[in-house]
Amino acid sequence: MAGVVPGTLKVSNDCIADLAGYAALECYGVVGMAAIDEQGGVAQLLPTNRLRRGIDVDVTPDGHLSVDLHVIVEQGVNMASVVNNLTSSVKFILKQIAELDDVKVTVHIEGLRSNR
Amino acid sequence: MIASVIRTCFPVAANVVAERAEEINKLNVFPVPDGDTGTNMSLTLGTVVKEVEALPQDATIEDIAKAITHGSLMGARGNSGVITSQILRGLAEGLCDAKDQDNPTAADIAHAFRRSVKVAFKAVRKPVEGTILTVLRDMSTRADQLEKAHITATEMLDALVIEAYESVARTPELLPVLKENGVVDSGAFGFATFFEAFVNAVEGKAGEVSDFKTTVDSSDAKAAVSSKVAIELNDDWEGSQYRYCNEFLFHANDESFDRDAALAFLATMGDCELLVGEYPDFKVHVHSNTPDKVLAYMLERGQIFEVFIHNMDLEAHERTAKIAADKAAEEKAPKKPLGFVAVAAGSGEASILTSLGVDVVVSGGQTMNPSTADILAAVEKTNAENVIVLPDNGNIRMAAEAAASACEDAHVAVVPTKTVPQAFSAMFVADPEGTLEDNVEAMTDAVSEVRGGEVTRAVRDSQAADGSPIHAGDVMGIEDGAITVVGSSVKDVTVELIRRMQEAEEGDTLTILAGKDLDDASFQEILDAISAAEPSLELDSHRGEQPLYPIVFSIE
Repeated sequence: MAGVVPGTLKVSNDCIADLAGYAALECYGVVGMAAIDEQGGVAQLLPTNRLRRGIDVDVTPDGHLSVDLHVIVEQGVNMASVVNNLTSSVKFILKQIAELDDVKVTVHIEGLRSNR
Repeated sequence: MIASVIRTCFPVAANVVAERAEEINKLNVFPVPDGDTGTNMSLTLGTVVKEVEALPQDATIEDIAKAITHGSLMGARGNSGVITSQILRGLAEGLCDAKDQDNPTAADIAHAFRRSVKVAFKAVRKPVEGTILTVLRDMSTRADQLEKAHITATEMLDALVIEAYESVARTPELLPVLKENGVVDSGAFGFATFFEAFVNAVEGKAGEVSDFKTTVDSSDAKAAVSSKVAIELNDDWEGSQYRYCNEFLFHANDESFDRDAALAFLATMGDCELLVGEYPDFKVHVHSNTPDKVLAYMLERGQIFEVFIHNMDLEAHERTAKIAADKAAEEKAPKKPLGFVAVAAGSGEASILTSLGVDVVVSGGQTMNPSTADILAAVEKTNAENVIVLPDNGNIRMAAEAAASACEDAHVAVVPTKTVPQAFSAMFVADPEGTLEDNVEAMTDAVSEVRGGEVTRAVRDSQAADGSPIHAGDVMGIEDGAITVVGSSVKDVTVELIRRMQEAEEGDTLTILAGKDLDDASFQEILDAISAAEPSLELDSHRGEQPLYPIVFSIE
């Protein structure tokens, strides 16, 4: 990105959710985003074009952006590491592309996918 | 026998990665440039080493596979660590399937890689090309090709090492962020290093591994990688709260040396502590403010050699200074193709102009016309080959034209804007990539479609354009230089002036700037009155903070 572009940058919440979603898909260990079936309480793997449903973007009372990701991870990976990687990837991509600092990222592991 | 080979060679390979961790860290730009890939990988491998070494000498391949899987799972740190854990797990599981455990064949290795690719790629939805995963897949593809070539397992491993480095060398082509930074993928390089070290250990040439740089000429792929490795990037020094980076080799006195206790002690001395190696030789790394204590502690327990202590603060400062100097030199050297200079009186106007792409704003306006020298200085400050000057006032145009003809270093042209809002319109159509002539034409066109108006107070008695008298203190509405409306309130005059201009020619957008002396509430009142009088007009209001003129606007 060369130079400073004049004007104001506004990024919609949906767009932030998409950015976070793509970062998540590229994150090793994350199999996909999940939507919770409220009635059944079952996590469902979302197709790539509907990632947003697994991501909640909100603004905290103190003015920070908060991003909640509902993910399904591969069984047999170190969850703590994957969550760490995912959090830093999402923060990084939002900083890089949308110039958002101080994003609060929360990862909810909604399910595991077994590879057997 | 595979099991015992892995048991002996894995720790050796892990050590090599640990030794090269700093080098790998420096390559780390993806997915997050935090410079920890090497450290993460070596820590992940370190946990595996612990688990593997805890096994008895006669452990079966199944036990080893379990230890590798468990160790790498528990110890996985960072993205590269997690990926490495899955790769190792796949490889280990694949090797379990080898029929003749004493004499594994090339086919067994190919099978292990296939299994590894399957396991490793399963854990990610959208694999990024140009990373460790690409290298793994390339190696597996190569293994599949060679499987039918009737080669020995050793030949197979050698071929795969070459393939690994070749694949690493290709990563910048696949992942643009690597190319931009002039590096290969850190995780991929780390994995290739690990694999090479492992293969060398298997083939009994463990000593050669550490001579990576000197063995460069033996393989083009390695040379290519190595030359890229040499490019130093961001490292993890900045931000450490400790001043000294201590690195040294340690030879323990006797077996009573407790590495866990030593590591725990190092942790109390600072951060980034690392104690890698095999009794009796270890490599120690720690960031600490008290290198004396670190050395004293280690000296009590053995010998130290090849001690390197860097003052990171100092080096960081030096580097920051150097980067700043480089940057300054760079800024001086290349000239921009096109620059813009505008004249404005208000601070608000200036910041809006700047945000629209004006490089230098000269302070000036109706009552304080900048001199030709002022404009000339601004033109030079843009450091551009071609400069467009926007005088933003009829009285300044002459000075701008004079500056344009006086300037020798750059081609200067003047777009005769009479008001600041006209400059806004002109900047909207400006194309920094375009030529001087094209821009002047487009901007002059844009300006001609803009009609400007100003509202101010009379400082002495005078006459309006239609001959009616004006008294000191009256509010005057000025349309393109001619006083057309006279009244007593800024609001009424503004609305009337806009009405007349709209009557003469209907415009659709009104850009309006509030002056320094107009407060927000009165400004809002005026805006409301305008929208009530001219509902079809789209309002674009800003605080221009210009002196003397409570209102400056333009209609297009």
